[in-house]
Amino acid sequence: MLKEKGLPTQVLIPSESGNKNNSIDWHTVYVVVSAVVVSIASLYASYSTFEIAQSYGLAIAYTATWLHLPLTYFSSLYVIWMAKQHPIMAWLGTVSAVLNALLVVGGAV
Amino acid sequence: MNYMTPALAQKQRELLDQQLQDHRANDTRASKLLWLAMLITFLLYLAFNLHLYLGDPLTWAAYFVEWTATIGFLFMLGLVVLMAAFLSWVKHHAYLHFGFYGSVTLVVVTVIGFALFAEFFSSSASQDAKSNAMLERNSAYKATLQAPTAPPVDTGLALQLASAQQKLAQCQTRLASGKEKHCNGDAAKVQALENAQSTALSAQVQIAANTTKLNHDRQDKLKADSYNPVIVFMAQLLAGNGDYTDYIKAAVVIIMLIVAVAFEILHHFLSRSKERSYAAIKHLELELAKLTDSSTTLPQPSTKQPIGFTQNPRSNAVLSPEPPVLNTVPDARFKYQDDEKAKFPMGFAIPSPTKSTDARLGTAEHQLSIPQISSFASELTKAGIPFPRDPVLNKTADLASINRIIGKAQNPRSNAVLSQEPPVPAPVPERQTAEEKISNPSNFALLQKYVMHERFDAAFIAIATGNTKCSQKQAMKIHAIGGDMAGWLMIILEAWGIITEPNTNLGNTRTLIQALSREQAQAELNDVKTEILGN
Repeated sequence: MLKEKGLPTQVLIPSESGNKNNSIDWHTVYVVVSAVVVSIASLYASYSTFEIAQSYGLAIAYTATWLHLPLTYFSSLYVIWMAKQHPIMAWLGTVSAVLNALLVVGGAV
Repeated sequence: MNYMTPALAQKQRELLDQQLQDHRANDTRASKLLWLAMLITFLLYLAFNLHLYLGDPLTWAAYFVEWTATIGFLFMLGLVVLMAAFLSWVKHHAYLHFGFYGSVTLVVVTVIGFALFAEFFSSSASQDAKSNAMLERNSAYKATLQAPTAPPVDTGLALQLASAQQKLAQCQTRLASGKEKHCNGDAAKVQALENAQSTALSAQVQIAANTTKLNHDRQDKLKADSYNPVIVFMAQLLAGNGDYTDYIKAAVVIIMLIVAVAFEILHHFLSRSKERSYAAIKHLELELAKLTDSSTTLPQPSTKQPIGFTQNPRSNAVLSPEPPVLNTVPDARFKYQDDEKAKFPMGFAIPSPTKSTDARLGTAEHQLSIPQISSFASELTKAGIPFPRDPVLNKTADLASINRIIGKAQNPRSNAVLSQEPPVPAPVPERQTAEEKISNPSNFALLQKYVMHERFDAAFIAIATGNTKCSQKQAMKIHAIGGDMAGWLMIILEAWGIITEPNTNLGNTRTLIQALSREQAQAELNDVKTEILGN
């Protein structure tokens, strides 16, 4: 009936990022993807530390992981908690988390 | 005309409550992250100090060989732990301080600079230690440490040369006794054998050198590969087509720089985030308090605009006796559309400027306005007349006295009454005076709230004594008060004749008329409280 009269049949509700209904909320996508990436980075850093400790002992694990493991956790928490309010800083946090997780692992020898 | 119905007020309260909860949650998260960052900073400084004072942790076993070395080690260990705790605590305190009062550039540079240095130092040492630890367990690397075996010497050639030299000597003996015609054959043989031996030795030396070089290259390659793959990748990028093993150290520095800078930026931003959350919480609490006050007067016509909007001054000029109409969309305006209100961006209405027909001060037809609570200091200042600070004159002088003072100041040769001089057309004042704003009954509740605020006294005295620059922004920053409260603080100070009105020619800046002593400032503050709070 409304359609026949050319009236809108759907109420458009603006979201936080200004998107309308039936469109992807990229802000939410960004927040979720960032959270997933840093979660994986944290798990990878934890596993790498465990593996190094098993192979080389705790002393080497301490030397190898140094502060990269806690820095990974810090950056991950930062992204998970702050990505919604501060997306740009969260991007830096994601980079930091991934880089620190990769730095935990040892060399190829 | 604007009416706030109970339903609207309730919804507004709910929205503000939700915002308040969000900001409180954000503030809590920022606090927790700051604590975590402090812990990491402690570990960072600890690692730095341990490397600096005690060396690589993997070599600490040497400290436990003798008891004297052990005691020294334990003493230094305690020292570096305390130092790391102190430095990290100072950094944490600085960031908390920045969250309340804004950052101080020198402190930020010092804190971040030292943290970056410490992180560089310890991270580079840690990467090297990790690489060495892994190399020690690598059999291929151990093999390269063995001295390369020299190629075997050709003993047959030496024997042949010795035999040829013997024959040549015998031949030369016989040649001397005339038994031989010449020894050219034996000499040529010796020469040939010597050449062959020389060539063989050169080849042996060349082979040994090549073997050593290959061994060193292998060592370098193994050393480089013992580093983290990210570092190796960065070294390969830096080297381009060259040998990446020469760029390992540079790659370590660059990677650690990225890590350290990222951490420091995130850490510093936490204090900014906390600062914003804190300001938002205070603002929202104030808005909720205002809403509570306004709800007690419902359904009276509201002279305050709803949050985020201001009522068009034209519609407030005359209060219509017509029944309330809620739909006042054509009259609703955003705050930024109103220049006067934009100076007080916290969401409540400053009364719109009313066109006054009073003549400007300092002219013959000047008529001073005498508000309910007022000082004449700003009127005199406005007229460009220097005057001594006199609390009695400031508060109690009658109109004639003020006129006399103005007349003397502007025309010292004549003590004639100003009203008898020929009239001079004066421009219409465009700005509502501080006295008029304060004397507006609709602002009383707000004024009382701000005057009773816990930070009002300190901010008032600091500005009046000249300790704080008399600008709204500085007051907000240094005393951690909202823009709304800072704006009213400036109006009160102006009304009491302590600071000037905003100078439009200098970007609406105010200046302190005369710095008061602390006792005088306290007396003025007491006067303000007496006038506004009525006690």
